[in-house]
Amino acid sequence: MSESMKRLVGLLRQLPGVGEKTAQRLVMALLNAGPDFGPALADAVREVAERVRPCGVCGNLTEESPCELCADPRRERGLLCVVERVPDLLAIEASHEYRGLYHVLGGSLSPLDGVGPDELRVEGLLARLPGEVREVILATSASVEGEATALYLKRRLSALGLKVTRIASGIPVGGELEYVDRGTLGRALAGRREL
Amino acid sequence: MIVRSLQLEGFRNLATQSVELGAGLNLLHGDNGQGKTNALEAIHLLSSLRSFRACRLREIIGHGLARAELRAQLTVGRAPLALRLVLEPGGRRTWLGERPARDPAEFLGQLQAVAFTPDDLAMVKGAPAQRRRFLDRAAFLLQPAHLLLARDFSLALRARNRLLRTGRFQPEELSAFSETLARLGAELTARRRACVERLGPAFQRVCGELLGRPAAAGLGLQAGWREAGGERGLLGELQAGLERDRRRGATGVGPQLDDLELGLDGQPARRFASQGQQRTLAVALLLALVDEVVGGGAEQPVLLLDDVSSELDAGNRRRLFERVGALAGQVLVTTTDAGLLGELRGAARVFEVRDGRLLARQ
Repeated sequence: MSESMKRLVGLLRQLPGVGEKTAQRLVMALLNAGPDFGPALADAVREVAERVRPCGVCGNLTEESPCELCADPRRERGLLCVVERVPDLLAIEASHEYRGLYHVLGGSLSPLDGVGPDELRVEGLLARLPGEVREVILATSASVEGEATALYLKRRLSALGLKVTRIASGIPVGGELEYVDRGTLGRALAGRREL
Repeated sequence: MIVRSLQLEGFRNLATQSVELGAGLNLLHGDNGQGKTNALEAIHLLSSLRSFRACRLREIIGHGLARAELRAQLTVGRAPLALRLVLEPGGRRTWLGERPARDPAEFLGQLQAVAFTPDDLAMVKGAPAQRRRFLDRAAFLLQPAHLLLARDFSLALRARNRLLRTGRFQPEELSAFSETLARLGAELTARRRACVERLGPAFQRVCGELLGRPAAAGLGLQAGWREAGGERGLLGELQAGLERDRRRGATGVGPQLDDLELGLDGQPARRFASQGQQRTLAVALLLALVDEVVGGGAEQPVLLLDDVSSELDAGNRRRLFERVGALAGQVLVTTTDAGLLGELRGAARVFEVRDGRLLARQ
């Protein structure tokens, strides 16, 4: 393999889920995809790296700040959904069930990894509140850190007189009970509601 | 659950080999240092991804070798299942059949085994951590969800302790982890208590069988916090102990201080039972667990008994092997004692273990 190929393989390997073999396969595919593909990809990578930044308001990734979600006049400004990371926001958006605003923390509280409130966009969140917001939905993950982060935010928000809610966890819609993992099933039973 | 065969490669002093095990009692006989315990350890490792010895990965990989590989063919219910574990200096990799396991948790529940090693002889009198480990393993075998809970609790505890040690935190941040710890902790102790209550009657029965007399043997859980208060009570205790916890840099109340108490004839066995009785109680605890798992409708875990009989007198030993021989499932027993071979004539399979090889005796 040439030096330039090795360099590209080395860079690709730093991406999640890409090992040595996959990286080599990608480089081969790149070389076989025609003379225009490589430069086009390089331009696209450069553009993303140069232009995309976290939104100064919500932390979503964007080229404009505020981002198109924050700027969209059709979004419901009384609702604010707090998520850990951008992919969580994208997942909620893909559901088309939510028309409110977002706030991306940038992770969850994790003392063992040295992540405290100062490492997350907590002050940015408080600065946005209450404003027009009536309800804050805490959509952090159902892990130990995600739960602790939700409890932390609940306390920080308690003085603002807002409605603070937590997303439910449990059985996937349309899911067969017997295929649901044990932890989820246990949580779903503990969080049962009266009909 | 039965381990039908085991393939070993680069595992401690064991030679590269394939071993066909019997479905019932398997006796591994040989001198010390020949590899008997290593064979049991291999099965235990496939079961729990942890050795029953305190050791590092590189000690498990055979001297001068780059990797070790274990494979096992199981019968679970009536279905075959193949497990594969590769140990390398960089870590471990696991497969279920031909497919890499999604995560350790998926691999862990597959081969269920319980081991008794000479270290477990200290179960009655030794450090509480040893009894908590047993209890969590028992609770996991009786209720698989226990594993996740115990892990989450341990994570929350380490997170809170880290905050206490660094001393740099917002009050709301510590509160958040205290609340999380209280929720998980209250449930953890409750589940441990339920497990102790399930094991109690079986423990009493097995003790009587092993001692050869009616014995008032019992199990109790000494919680590391005031259980009656529930989750809110535990949170209150955490808050009340905050200054002490900050000075020590560790959480001084909670399930991490739970202890399992074994009693014999109305007295704490830790203080009043003889050495021999303590050994019998420790074995009885394991057999009670096996009974209770089977009684709950699950398959019998593979029972691994390493050098269990060496410290027992003749009567206790005979009763122990009668009891073990009567189990319907698979058992592996190691011994240096050739006399045991004669006593266990009904053993399904006898292996001579020499220089890292297991040779089935005809």
